[in-house]
Amino acid sequence: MKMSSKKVAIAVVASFALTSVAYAGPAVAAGKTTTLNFYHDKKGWDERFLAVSTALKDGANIKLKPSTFADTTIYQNTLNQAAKTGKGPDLLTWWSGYRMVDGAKNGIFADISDVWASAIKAGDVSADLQKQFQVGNKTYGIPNGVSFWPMFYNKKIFAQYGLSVPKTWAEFINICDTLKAKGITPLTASVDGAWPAFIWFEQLLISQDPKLYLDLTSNKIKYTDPKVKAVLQIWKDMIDKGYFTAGDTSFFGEAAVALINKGTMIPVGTWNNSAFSVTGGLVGGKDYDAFVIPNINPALKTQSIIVEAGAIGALAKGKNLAQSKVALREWLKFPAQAMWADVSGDGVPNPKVPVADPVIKSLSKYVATNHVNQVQRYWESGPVPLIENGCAILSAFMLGKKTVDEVSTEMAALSDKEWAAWTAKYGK
Amino acid sequence: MIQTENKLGRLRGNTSRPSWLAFRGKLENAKNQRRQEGFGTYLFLVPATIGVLFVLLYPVLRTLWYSLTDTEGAGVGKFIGFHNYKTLIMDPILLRTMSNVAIWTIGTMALPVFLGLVIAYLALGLKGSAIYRMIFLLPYVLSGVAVASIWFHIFQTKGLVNQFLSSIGLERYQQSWLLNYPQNTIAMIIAATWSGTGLIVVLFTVGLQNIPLQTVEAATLDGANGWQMFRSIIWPQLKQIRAVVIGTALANSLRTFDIVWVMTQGGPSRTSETLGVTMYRESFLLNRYGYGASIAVLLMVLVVSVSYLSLRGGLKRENSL
Repeated sequence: MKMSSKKVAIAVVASFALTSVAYAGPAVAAGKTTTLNFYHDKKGWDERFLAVSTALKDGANIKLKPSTFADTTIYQNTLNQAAKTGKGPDLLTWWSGYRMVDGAKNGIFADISDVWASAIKAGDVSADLQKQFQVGNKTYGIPNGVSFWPMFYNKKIFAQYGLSVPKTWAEFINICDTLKAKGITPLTASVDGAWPAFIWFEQLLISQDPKLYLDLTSNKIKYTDPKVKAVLQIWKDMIDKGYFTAGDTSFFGEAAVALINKGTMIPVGTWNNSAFSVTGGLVGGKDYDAFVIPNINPALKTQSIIVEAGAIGALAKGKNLAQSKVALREWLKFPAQAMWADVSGDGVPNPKVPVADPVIKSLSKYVATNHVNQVQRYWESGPVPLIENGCAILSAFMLGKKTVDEVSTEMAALSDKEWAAWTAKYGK
Repeated sequence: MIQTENKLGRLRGNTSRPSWLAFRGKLENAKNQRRQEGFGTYLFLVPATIGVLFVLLYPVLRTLWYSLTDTEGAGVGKFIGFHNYKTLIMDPILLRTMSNVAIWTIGTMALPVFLGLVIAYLALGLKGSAIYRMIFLLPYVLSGVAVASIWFHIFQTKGLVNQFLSSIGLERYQQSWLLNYPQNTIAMIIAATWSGTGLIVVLFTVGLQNIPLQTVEAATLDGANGWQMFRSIIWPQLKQIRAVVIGTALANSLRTFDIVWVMTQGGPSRTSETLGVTMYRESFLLNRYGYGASIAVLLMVLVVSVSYLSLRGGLKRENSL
């Protein structure tokens, strides 16, 4: 469900009047519109970016000219070359955490610490979020939306079988057993493209012990640690019980709708919410909903949830760098954020923006009320070759081709190798 | 030479020697005329030569250079000699990749080339054979990505193959075709066969049509049966076209990329990677351009060597005239 256009317009105008007072940055030349080239690899997101462009035009007389790259690898490599030549966009999307380090060290991204300082001061973004975009003591991007990774489920099928949102791991397993007994595959898992292999790995780790996850991803403990192996064993038991979909299952767009309609639960980022509400025409809160996956370890006082924050940065050698920074500051303000939230149906980093979508609204409220621990996604939490090649090893495990011992040993060897290479290249 | 003569002879309605000599005479005259025109003639070749050097040779040299550096991500690499090649030889994935390339090579010989020859031979002379050939050629006009998408939906766990097996009561044979090794590679070879056989049918048909009728008639008069006719008359005379078909098929099988990338991305767990996929993965997924370039060089050496060896024998000129 979306906020009506009229409400958005009123909110945008009102908030612009309020927030423009706190605006900091170079003066905007009256009457002269700057057009910034904006590269991204988010297929189907042009509507969101053009909505932001409308707000930027009103607030800073800046327009975005988005160019979509259909293939992420081509996109990355184009920008790697742009970093060397300076011939590229003014603004670009990227990934946060470790995926940002190479670009930051080699001049893809401009340091936008001043944009953050201004935004934090105005209350447009939480300072906690800044860490994900920092390399050293400099900040290289703003959040491109903020997505939680809850479990999406079919509310009607839950009601049909007398199931409710699980509060404990035992209740969660009971749901899986019930659905399985009814001929429904309870949980989505996939190795299609390899990367989805990390989804259950990270989820089970944070459900068991978030500190274990953080220690593992920061190379403080080994993958052969008995606690890590215990989590892998829990995963193995779930695989053996037949809880998961086939390894080549797709869970985006229409495929996601098909899965949820059958009653299969899907652990995925809230950026996929529009697949259910727009593509599938399902009513959030009535046909489907989302919950935070309960802890495996009952001793944990709070639940944890994975958070994914994509990045938007400015090209360091871009010819409109000053205006790019103005645009990024404007992007974090209420008007642009409200537009984004309305069009995307997903969460935004600006806490002043009301969440319109009932599923995201309810989830955000739950996370805030219960002080749910927000943990960075595995994908952004380590050296790129470790994550990419690690997913290949985890894929084999999911398909029953490797044992717990084999996976932990191979991951540990890979981790040692890639962390050593990383440290040699970028330092600690 | 002999085949050219036959072709020309057919065009002229006879195979007489004087007409061939006249043709050679014209060729010699043209060559002499070009020599007389001198240096000016070669100026016309300059634009094309520059184009070829820039588009073909420069990337090759650049790749060779990259393979000797540690270029990664957005950074500028430094010269590291043959370190990338040493790493490649020690990389365990190379063994899997090369074994997949071997399966692809054998599979490509066993399926598209063999099927192409059989279909071309059987269709030759049939009423409406052009329509048959057209039907087989149709998948060839699809892009590799489209072919892979179609076959992904056929072979995926919930796909057509498993649905068909279920519909005829053979559920026990259902499996995740793309998730198990070597079934995934075999499934992709089947997809490549569907796509590539048509062109091979056309090439062999051209070869078959160029075989002099007299040799076939003579063998018939001598009482040769079908198999004898094929083995002793047809097969030897397909030597040149066979070299082209096999050479092309070998090179394509070594370079296989698009079908694998779309259907499995080399997975699961890198089990279905080919050299092309490994090169792409290292270069563009992990942004290890230097290391990826060393794989590209290995691939290039393999393709050029295999193509040269397979074409050298097949296209060797007959001692004619």
